[in-house]
Amino acid sequence: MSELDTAAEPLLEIKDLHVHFATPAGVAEVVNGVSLRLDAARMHGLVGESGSGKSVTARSVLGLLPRGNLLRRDGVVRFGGRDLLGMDEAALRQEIRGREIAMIFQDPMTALNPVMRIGHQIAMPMRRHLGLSKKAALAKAVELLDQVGIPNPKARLRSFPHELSGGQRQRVMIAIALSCDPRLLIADEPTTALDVTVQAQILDLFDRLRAERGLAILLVSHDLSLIAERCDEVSVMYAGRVVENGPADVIFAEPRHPYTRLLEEARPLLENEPHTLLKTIPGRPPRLIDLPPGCAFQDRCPNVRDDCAAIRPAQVAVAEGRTVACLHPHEPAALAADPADDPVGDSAPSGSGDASDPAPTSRKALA
Amino acid sequence: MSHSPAAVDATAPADRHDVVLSAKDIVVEYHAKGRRPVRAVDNVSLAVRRGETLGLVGESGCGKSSMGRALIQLPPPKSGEVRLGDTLLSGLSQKRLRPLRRRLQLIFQDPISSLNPRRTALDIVAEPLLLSGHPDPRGRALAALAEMGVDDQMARRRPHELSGGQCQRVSIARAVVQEPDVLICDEPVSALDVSVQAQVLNLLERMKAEYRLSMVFISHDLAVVNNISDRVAVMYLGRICEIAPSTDLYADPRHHYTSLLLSSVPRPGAPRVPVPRTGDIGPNTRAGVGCPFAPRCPAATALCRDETPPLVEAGPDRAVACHHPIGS
Repeated sequence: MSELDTAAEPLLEIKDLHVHFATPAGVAEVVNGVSLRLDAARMHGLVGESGSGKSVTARSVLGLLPRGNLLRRDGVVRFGGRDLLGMDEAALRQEIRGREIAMIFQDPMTALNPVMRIGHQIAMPMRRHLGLSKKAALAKAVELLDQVGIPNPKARLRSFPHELSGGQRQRVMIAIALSCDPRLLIADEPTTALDVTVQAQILDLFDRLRAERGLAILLVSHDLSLIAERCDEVSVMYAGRVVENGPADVIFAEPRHPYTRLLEEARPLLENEPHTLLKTIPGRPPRLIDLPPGCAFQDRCPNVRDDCAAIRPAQVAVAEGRTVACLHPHEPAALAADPADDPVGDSAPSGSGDASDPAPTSRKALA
Repeated sequence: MSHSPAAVDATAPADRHDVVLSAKDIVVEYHAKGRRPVRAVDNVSLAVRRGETLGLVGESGCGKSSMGRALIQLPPPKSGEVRLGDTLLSGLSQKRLRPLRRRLQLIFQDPISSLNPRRTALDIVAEPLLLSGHPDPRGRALAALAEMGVDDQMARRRPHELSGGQCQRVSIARAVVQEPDVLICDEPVSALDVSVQAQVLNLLERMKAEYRLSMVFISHDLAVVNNISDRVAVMYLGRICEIAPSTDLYADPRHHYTSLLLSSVPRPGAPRVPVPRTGDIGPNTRAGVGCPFAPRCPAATALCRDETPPLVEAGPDRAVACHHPIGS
């Protein structure tokens, strides 16, 4: 790829990604046609509940999927003009992982080697990818630890992971991730195991890295508030698909997909009065080995109509930089009066009693 | 400064009959070989009023779970008194405690591992009824499960065949069928997805009204605690730093730690001030003098490092443990 081409396209582009696994119970369709893009210095949030496919999507970028039971993995993952899905393991390891794209995981306890001093763990990728001497790599490690906010970094080089707190360990993970100056950081629930004050510090650090180094971040999280506060763009996932995608501030202020809106409303808020009854989403997500032919959200959706059972909604552009995968999305407030596509949110769904139209209220009782 | 008023037992309400569960000067320590004991709870007093939900909030290691355990005497705290109604629980033998345990029920964070994997949901809920001599344990258990949204068919499944949310419903059923006075919930929704979390929180509210429960709700999630609690106690390194009605606490925090906590919660759209890099909570190995928050506190003075601030009254129904509270 020429320089011109890479300048024109996003840093990371995922197009129509599918990932299926073989399980004893059947084929689990974990990721079903995910598309998203991410530019330098931006933070893109991948949000969804457990089993929505957000982590598998993130891991697919680096080819970090269990190979034993992988049945299908296709689509496009392009990074800086290169096709990552087509790359072999050796090339990924030498040229991409840790060097161009780094990843940090939720659990900083198990991601670090418990019997190796942290200085070594930070120095290792730099010695391997950048060819630094041991001395130079350790000197750089001190710098990195200081940058991520670890007090007394020089003395810390000789610490073992168990001697650090959870927040410090996650910072060490970030230092390792940054060591080779990657262009993209994939962070899979990086602060979920951490306290809220530490979480805020780590997220502030992310903001700084984006501003100072142009680092792009793909942030995987189940926490809507966090994503809404910190990310530029967001992709909301449900049953392996992106149901809604666009600028974070717009999406949460005015969700178009019924699932996004319900998620948003189910969230307890700091501003709520005590004993506020929360909105709930009736039912449960579908089993990934048994996805319905139409929309995966149809059983739980307040807007459901007959065609939802048959037609799988595609990601359709509804505004600049915004897509929604729904046949009957909520209308934006400004256009709510448009009679051409009347939202059915509050009116009774047509054809009740039909198998394709389970009444949400009766499901609620079962949930 | 403000330490002149006598250290009041600000957590004790004026009217004693109002209180269903109270704790006085609770100390919990954990011992490890060859090390100084870690003091997880350091002289904490609190009172749960009839019909209220008291939130206990703080970060990992602040002692909120240890405090919850101390309240049900599992294990009994190192020192301090716990009273259930007029009955003093501290010092009672296991045998004398057992009949009282029915009145204090606990719900745990991990919904699946806190249920016996080899019993069905129905057995799990019927067991305590059977032990207490209920005339129709299985019928009552089925009815309670149905009330929680667990139907007959699901009631015959074992915990691993149920989802996390369903298991938590079974835990709630097991607790409320015994008609306890106080329900202690230790991070009951932390392991659940947002949509399920909302269902369980609503269910807890409904059960609380229906069974006229009082609740202690322990959580690290400030938004969740705010939604369910009448009053909230904020803990830091084993001590209560502030206790107040939840609306007052969230609108107008007096302790600098409460304020730091609140400003750390992601709030989309709100103007964002970077959180000061104040370091982490360490294990509690502090010598026992001074304010535990002083090393991270923006307002700390020499006094804070030398003298532990007592919990003193700071307005109607609220108390704060700070030498220089916000707004003073």
